[in-house]
Amino acid sequence: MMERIFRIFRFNPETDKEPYYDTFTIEVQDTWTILDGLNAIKWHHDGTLSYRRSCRHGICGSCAMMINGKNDLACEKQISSVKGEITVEPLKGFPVTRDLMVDQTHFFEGLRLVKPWLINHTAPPTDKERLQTPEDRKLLDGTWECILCGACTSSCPAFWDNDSFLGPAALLKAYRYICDTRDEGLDERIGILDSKVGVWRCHTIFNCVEACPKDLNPTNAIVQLRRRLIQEKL
Amino acid sequence: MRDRGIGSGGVMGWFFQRLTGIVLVPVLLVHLLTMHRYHDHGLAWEQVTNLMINPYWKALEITFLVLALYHAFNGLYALFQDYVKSSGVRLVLFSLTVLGGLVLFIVGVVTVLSIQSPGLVGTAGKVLP
Repeated sequence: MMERIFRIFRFNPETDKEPYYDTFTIEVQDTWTILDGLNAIKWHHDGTLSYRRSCRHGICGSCAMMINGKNDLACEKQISSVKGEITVEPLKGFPVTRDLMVDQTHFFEGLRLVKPWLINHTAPPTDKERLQTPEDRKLLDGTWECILCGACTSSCPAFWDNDSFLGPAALLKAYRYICDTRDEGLDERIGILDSKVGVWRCHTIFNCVEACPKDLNPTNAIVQLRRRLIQEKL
Repeated sequence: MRDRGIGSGGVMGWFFQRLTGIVLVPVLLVHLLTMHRYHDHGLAWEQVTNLMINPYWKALEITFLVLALYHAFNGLYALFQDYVKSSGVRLVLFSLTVLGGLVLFIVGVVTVLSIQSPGLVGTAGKVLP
């Protein structure tokens, strides 16, 4: 066990006029994650601390937050990997609901606009699934792994200034289906992708690549989408 | 939150911004080296007018003008799309951008086409010692 200092962003819109930071000094174990630390604070020091958590295995994306200035999953980030005081803040770019919780309604609305599901107008075979070659399946690698935590979109300066921009997560998800050889939905998605809130608002800043806790590359997906749109339109 | 209505896209604007950017590199270099080159005795007005009476140079300069104006004003409009939240203000700025581009295009074309004689020397056109 060792002592670590957590400096945590606090804001309750019902009682606070301005956000502030609370500092907690707690005993932690070597193997704890940031989420374990937050749980310890909530369960033993301050029950009013609010944050999202669910699977604790880096799958659900609920606990994305900013840890020492970088977006990450609290359940995957080891306390031992952070030196000195640990500052925990909510994801930037989203309205803060309370403490470390943000309102991602707009984020998920943008996701729905790109129709993140397989669109295929041909009737499926009755005796087997829609099969792909191993090569075609390989095209999906680096896209399907997105857990929609919002860390990339929250780190995007283009999104900070224009929250109608679909953002890297929605565009990565759009690319996941557009590069799927079984999908026939490009025509249905092209309107939103080629709109003023679509792929052209990205300025290839690469913050999303830095922020993604799954080491995905949304910028590359956006570049590939642009290539497809250019091919379709010109 | 801004409107997410699907308006006209940006594919042509994005593509031509890149295309003009690439073409501008050599055209700009040629323009700078020929029209703004400092000679041993200062900027040679007569050399510039001698070049500019050639119709091919005129065509090159007008090409440079079109490319540079498109690249600059399209880039400016992209900034408005990013940072101006009101659609009404964006429309006004877009109109001003188009108007400004057209005015500068006309001024540029008139200037290029008006150079008809190698002996043309403006009031500030004397060869510097």
